[in-house]
This record gives sequence, structure tokens and C-alpha cells, in this order.
Amino acid sequence: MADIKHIFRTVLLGSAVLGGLYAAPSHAEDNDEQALMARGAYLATAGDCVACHTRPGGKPFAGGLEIATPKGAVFSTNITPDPQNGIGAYTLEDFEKALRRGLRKDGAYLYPVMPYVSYAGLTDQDVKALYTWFMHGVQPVAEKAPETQMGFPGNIRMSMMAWNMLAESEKPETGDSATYDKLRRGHYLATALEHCGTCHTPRNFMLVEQQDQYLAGSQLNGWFAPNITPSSTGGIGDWSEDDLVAYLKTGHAKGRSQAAGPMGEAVEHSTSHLSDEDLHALAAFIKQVPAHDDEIDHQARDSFGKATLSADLRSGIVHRVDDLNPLDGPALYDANCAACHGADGAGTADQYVPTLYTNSVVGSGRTDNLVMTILEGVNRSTPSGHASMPSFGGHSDVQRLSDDEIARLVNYLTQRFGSGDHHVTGAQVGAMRPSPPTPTPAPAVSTGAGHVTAPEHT
Amino acid sequence: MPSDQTLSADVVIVGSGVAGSSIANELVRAGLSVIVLEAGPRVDRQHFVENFRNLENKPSYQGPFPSTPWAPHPPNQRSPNKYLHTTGPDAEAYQQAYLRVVGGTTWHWAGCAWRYLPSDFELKTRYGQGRDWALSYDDLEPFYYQAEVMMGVCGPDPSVEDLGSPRKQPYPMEALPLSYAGEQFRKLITEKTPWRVVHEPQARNTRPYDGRPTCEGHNNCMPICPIGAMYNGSYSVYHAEAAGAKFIPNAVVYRIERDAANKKVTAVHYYDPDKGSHRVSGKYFVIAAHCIETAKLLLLSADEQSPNGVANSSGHVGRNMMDHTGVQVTFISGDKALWPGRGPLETNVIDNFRDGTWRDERGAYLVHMVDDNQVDFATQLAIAKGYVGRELEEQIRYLASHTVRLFSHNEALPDPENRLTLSRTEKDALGIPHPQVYYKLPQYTVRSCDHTRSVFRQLIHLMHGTDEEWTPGYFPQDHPSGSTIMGADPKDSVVDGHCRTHDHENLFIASSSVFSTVGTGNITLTVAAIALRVADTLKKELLHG
Repeated sequence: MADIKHIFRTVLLGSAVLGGLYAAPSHAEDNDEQALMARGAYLATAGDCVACHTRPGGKPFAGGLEIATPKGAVFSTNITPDPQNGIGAYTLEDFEKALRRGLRKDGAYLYPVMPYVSYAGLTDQDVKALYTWFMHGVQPVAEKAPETQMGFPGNIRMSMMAWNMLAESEKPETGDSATYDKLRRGHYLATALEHCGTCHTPRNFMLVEQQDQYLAGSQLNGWFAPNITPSSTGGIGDWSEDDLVAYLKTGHAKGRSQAAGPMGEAVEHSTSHLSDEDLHALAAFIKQVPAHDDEIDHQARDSFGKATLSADLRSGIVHRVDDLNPLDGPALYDANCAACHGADGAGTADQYVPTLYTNSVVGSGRTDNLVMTILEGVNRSTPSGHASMPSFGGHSDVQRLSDDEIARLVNYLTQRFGSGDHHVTGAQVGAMRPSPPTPTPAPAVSTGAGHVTAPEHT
Repeated sequence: MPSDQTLSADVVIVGSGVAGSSIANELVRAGLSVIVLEAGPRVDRQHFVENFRNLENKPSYQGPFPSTPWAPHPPNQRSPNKYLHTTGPDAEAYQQAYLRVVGGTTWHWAGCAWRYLPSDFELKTRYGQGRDWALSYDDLEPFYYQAEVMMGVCGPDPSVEDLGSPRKQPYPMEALPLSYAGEQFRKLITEKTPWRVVHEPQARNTRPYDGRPTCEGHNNCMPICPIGAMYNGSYSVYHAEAAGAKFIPNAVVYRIERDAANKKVTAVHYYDPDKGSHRVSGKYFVIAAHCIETAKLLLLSADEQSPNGVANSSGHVGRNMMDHTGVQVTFISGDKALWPGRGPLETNVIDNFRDGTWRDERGAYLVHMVDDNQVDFATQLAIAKGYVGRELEEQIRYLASHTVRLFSHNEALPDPENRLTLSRTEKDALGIPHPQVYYKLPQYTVRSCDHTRSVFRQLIHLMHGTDEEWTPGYFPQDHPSGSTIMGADPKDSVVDGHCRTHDHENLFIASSSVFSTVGTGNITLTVAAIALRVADTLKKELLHG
């Protein structure tokens, strides 16, 4: 039902994008202004504006990212200070209306793909900091983002007014958000900035977040943003505050879970750049929201399995090169996974390659994230390093697994290391594959002899 | 498919290895239509990995790749084997390993990605030996870099470790750290000898690159990298296919058809596995089918117009067969344990003998301290020594951690007598003759190998080595080259400096078969660079010609 969450599709942003966030303010006139700029830059990171407002390969904040929704494609807008194409002509008041109320400068309603119901919780001071930074800290880009074309009734932006009446916006916080105590700061970060609920809270049939199910888990474009309430059976009640901080900072809580897909991006672009103090505040807040049990998971997702060796697969039989005989689950694991994750599933000693048992992704009764990880791989860069697992999907150079192979492999993995065989079918995997294959980008851009560039780090 | 089906493209390429697939990728992205004909089948990594793990004879590089009847390749490197028939005084030293599958032989290579030295292209001018190439290092430099980016090559910072091949750009990735064994070896060489150990440039990821992971040091680059951290030709196949190139597997080209004037190639003909024949026409043709199969195809295409074979007015097709035929020794170090086998197979090289004034008299070479797992060797040695029970286990542990394997790539010279011909008696399932090669190591290489042996003996002495086991005679390095040699003079060479055949204006060859000399570094990067240069030439002619 909560299809609007398709808004968060894979965004392959280069780390170069973030470079722009920390550009020293060039026009700062005094220390106050500089402090405001620094605060604005930090808040923009915490709000993860760049995730949606930059298209792959595009300039930071110039928009143009195509976001699929059930009502049609929405293109994110140019929010650089370019006066014609961006928000350069916005006053602080215009900016505030867009950010907290979803109202464009010309009076039109924004689509709620823009999480203004969350940003509504920002303090006046922080809105001003964001405004100052966007006006002076971001490079103007004179590029027009594509217009959003929507079918009826979504094309009537006025219908958003009715939606807005149903959706419950955050109430603006007051005072100086930097002085809040830990839990208030955590609440502020979680709701007004990181907008955790946008993905992790289920929505009703009107696509409005169900606040009585806050952070209880929801579908997300093939992935599943899991229940992260403190339920000890359905959520992450067994995680310590430090576990959560490690996860948000590095994308990996060892022996529990690791971030890929949209959460990998959120960690890469946003949470890994937060201060330790803020991460602890955020974690402490998440740990005390109301616990919700889960329909499918009745035991902590990271509590299944142990190191096991499979039966000896060695047959001594070597097949002719053209004999691509179908491999069964154990052989698929042996040929594709065991080299890194180990014959026993333990991963590497330093857990750069994570264990597959006591792993939320393998332990969950929802196999969505396991299938998606195999299809898309992991590609997550944070200040603590680059986590990478190759894709085994249709564009992989390492190995392209068929739908049936992935289904057999997933069922084998969950049975051996997780909560049992969940009988995933090839058809289900096929439905989760990213739609139409686009041409694989060349490894190098070549326009003739010598004019080549090496792929970027990400 | 009906046997009279006609296919056509701007450029028709025979062979889907690193050369053929990278040319296809470049051309198709420039808007040209491309058909690639590959004799072998489509394959994938997971089945090779399973074959390798099931194989009992782990050091057998050809073992996990049993070939098809219609596209046979050598089943092993023994002589005789059932496909590549070698004769002559050094027949056993010319048993080459290669694969006929989509993606080619880089499915099983060690990833060593050397550029040649500028002197390697001018051996005749500088040292009065062998031949000069009809192109210079500078001509190839931009394509070397393009190949390094395409493959993902890691290597040392030239300002710290200059490998002698001038670079305009740094390596795309930082050098691979030496393994523990490599570090110990480097320390010894630095402290106790006048030589040095350098980081070997490798087409292997030292960071996630091009959607593939960082090398984890599984130590079985040959016969198969289990995770895709090392380049192989299948990536270029995928990239070319994604851009629209058409690859036809199981298409065994057996004839190259020319026009009445015998100046232009008009089509190639291939057999499918059932021997149905198909004709593929085009504007340009590239043979990129490995040194041995390329020469075989040209000879096989002999007819009334060209009784000695296509592109063979010089009579040099199939001649001048070269390799880095070297020497190999394995011994037990008397010093502290090296623990070889932890990391990629080949990470470090003594490069002091790659060039010098002495090259007027003996060939250059480079030395690998091969960093492979030595449990197999240690076990055989311990059993031979008569150990049993717990002592046997202890000895295996001790010997495996102290084993040192050294081998060399020694420079050959193009000698027309070293010659590939078609077997008169042995044929494959399609009735196509097997290749046979006469090989006698040139004296230039013999003197080089003698020098290497003296260096190896010094190293054994330095490491207080025992239990030396020298490979009898000479050691093949699987770098066959020279069979369609490049030169400025059509009378004694097959292709010109652009790899265009002297005889047929629209026929190019992209393979180590065009090498005029073979230098010392592994040949694949130079094959790739030459291939990308062929692609550049074709783009210029087809798009702007």
C-alpha cells in the first residue's frame, strides 16, 4: 500500500557531491555568519537534501533526479541559488514556506515526495541557517530540472492541499536546537531532519504515515525498511545505543546488520557525517519510541544461525566448459558467496565481509533485502571506508545469476543461516529486478587515444 | 540456423578475448556495427569456480576448462598432448596454455600487466639483435593507458618506483601491497644483492573498481579468480554487448574469403558445432584469435588465390614463434618461514635484467618469486623423504612455509625456423587440422637462461636453500607471439605498424602474433594496447575515411 515510498530509488551519487557541502563560506562577513553557514551545511547533511536534489552524475543540488511514484514520475528541483533555475530569488519567507509547508514561491503546492511534513518541525533559527547556507554556500547551477508530469488527480497540485490536511505535520520546534537535551535533540534529528519515518513508518491508503505505527517498518521499492522500534522480537530491541551509533556512523553494526540500498545511501550521505553526540542522541531517541511487534518476524532478526560447515561438495567431477549445468543451493553458495563470506558463513575476521548468521538481512522472514542485496550489491562509502559487494544482477561483470538461481540461493541462505526456508520463487525475484536494463556504462569514457578517465572511487 | 544465412557488419572480429572484445566495445560505442565470432562457448565464473574446486590436480591451469570438440584447446601442458603438437629440440618448452571460450584466455591469467620498455620496440637498432617493431613505445603509450583504465591496473607510483616505461598518467589504482613472502624476499634482495624487487603492475583491484571487488588474495588467480577482482575479457564482452555488439559463440571460422583481386577480404565463413556453414560479410575484418589460432586460421584459408595462406605473400605466417621460455627452480629456504601463498600469485619481480648493454649478446629477462601455495609441493617432498604420521604433518607444515619458487621470463628472438604449421594427420571434430609447432630455443635465449640459472643459484645460496628441484630443460610461459610478425617491409613481415596485413587492405590482426620481439613483461597489456590502437585506426577510417 505504501507505494509512495518508491520515492527513494537507487541514487548513485559520487562522493564528490558531498564535497560541496563543506565548501568554506566565501562571502561570510563575520563569525556569526560563518557559524550560521556551518550550521546550515550540517543541517542540510542531516536532512539529506542532496539525496533527492541531485541526479546521478549531476551537479550538487541541481535537481533532475527522477523519482518514481504510483502517480507518475516526479523530478526533483534545482535548489541551488541560481535565480532563474534554482531558488536564488527566494526570500527567507519563500524558503520557509517551501521547506515547512510544501508551498512553492508561486503558490503552487509541492508534491509530498518532498518531506515537508517532517521539515515542518525545524526551528526558525535552523530554517534561517539552511537558507543562509543554500544561498551562499552552494554553487549556483544554471540548469533547468525537467518538469514533473503527473496524471490526474495528482496533476492538480491543489489536490495536495487536501492531502496536507490529512497528513499530520511535525510541529515547529522552538529555541536553539543546539542546546536541547539528548532526547529532545534526538527527537529533533529523527523527525525534523533525518525524516526516518518517511521510509520506516507504514502509510495508510492515503499514503499518510501512520503515526501510531511509527518506525514499524514499510516497503521501499523492492527493499524493506525494517521495523526499528525497540520490540525485542519484531524490532531492534536487542541493539545497544552503541550498536545503533556504529550502524549510523559506518553502515555496519557487526554481528547485527549492514546498510545497503536506500539506507546505504542515507548512511553515506547523511548519518555518517553527523557528530558522535548527535548520533548518540538519535540512537537514544530511537531506542525509546513505542515498541511494535511484527507480523512476520517473531524473533530478533539478528539472532538466528551459527557458523556451520556444509557437507563436502567435492565430487572430483569437472564439467566441459559449455556445460552450464544448473547449480543447487549449496553449489551456488560455494561458487558465488563462500570465497568472501567463508565456507562457514562467518565472514572475514575483521567483519569487512560480514557474517551471514546473526545477520538481520538473512534472519528476517522478509527476504526482500537479501534478494535486493544479491541483485544490486553493496556500494557504501563513509569516512570509515568503502564497503563493497558486487552485484549478481543483470549488469554484473562478476556473475549474472538467473531469477531461479537467486531464489534457490536465498532459500538456501535463510535455511542455513537464518529463520528457515521462505520458499522464494524465481518469479518473485524477477519482479524485484530493476526495470528495463539500461546500457552498462563503459568502464572508461573513451573519445580516442589517451582521452580516458578512470572510474571514480565509488 | 540455416546454413545459408548471411550476416553482415561494419567490422567483423574473429575472437572474443581481451583483444577482440575491447575492439568491439570501442567500435560499437562509436556507432559502428560489430559482429564478433567466437569459436568457443559462453561460459560463466561460477561453473569455473566449481570445476576448479572439484579438480584434484589444482596446479593444472587448463584442468578446470575441458574444451568442446568443435573448439579444442590444449587439455594440459604436457607433450605430447592431444591438441597442440610440438616438435623440435625444445618441443616441451612450447606447450602453451590457452582457452577457446567467450572472454578468452584471460579467464586464467595472473593479471600481470607490464608495459614493454621503449628499448623492446627497437632491439635491432639498439642492440643489433632480432627486429624493430614498426611502431614505437610513444605510439603505443596512450593506448597503454587506455588499456590500463579498461582493465583496471594497479601499479607503483612512478616517482617512487620507476619501471622504465615512461608514463603520462599514474596507474588507475595504487600498487598491490606485497605479501609477507614478497616483503621478506624484497628485504633480502635489497640488503644482500645489487638488485631490486619492484611491485608488479597488475590488472587486479586494490579498491572496488568498475563494479568489481577488491582482491582478497585467494591465491588462485590461475586457474580462476573466484570473485572477479582480476580483469578478464568477459567484462569487455559484457560492455560491448550492452552497447549493441553482436557476439556469436560456437562459431568456428575456417575460411577468409577475398575479392577477385585478392586485395580485400569480403567475408569469413564459420562452422557451427554441427558443421553448418555460415558466411559473415563486412567492410573490415579483425583476426584477434590468439597467436596460435590466428596463424592457424590464415594458413587454413589457403586457396588458389593464396596457396600459402591468407596474408602470407611473405611466407612469414606461422613463423617467428616466440615465448618467454624461461627457467624454474623450487627449493626449501633455510632461513625463516616465508609462508608463500597468501595473496595474489604474482606480486613482486626482480627487474634488473630487463634491459642492458649486454642485450647485444644475450636476452633480457625478469624474475618472479611466485607466491603460490606450496602445500602440494611440500607434501610430495615430505612423502618422498619418508616421513609418516605426525612427523609427516609437521614436515608438510614446515616445508610449505619455507618453499620458494622462482621462475623467469626470458626474451626470445624471432627465428623463422620456429614455425607453426597445420598438422597433416591430426584433425578436430570439424575436420580442421590441429596446430603443430617446431621449436628450438634461440642461442640468444639460451645464454639468457644460463645467466638466469647463475642468478637463481646465488639466490638459493643466499637463502641457505636445500632440496632444489629444477624444471628440466626450459619452462614455457604461455606467452606465444610472433606468428604474424609486424614489420615495415612486406617481404619479410605480415602486418604493418597499424596491424594491417600487408596483403589485404581491410584485414587487421590484433594479437600477440604481431609482436616483432617479445621483451620480458607479460604480453597481455601490450595485446590490449595494440587492440585499442587497431580500434582507433578503424574508427578513423570508417567514420572519417
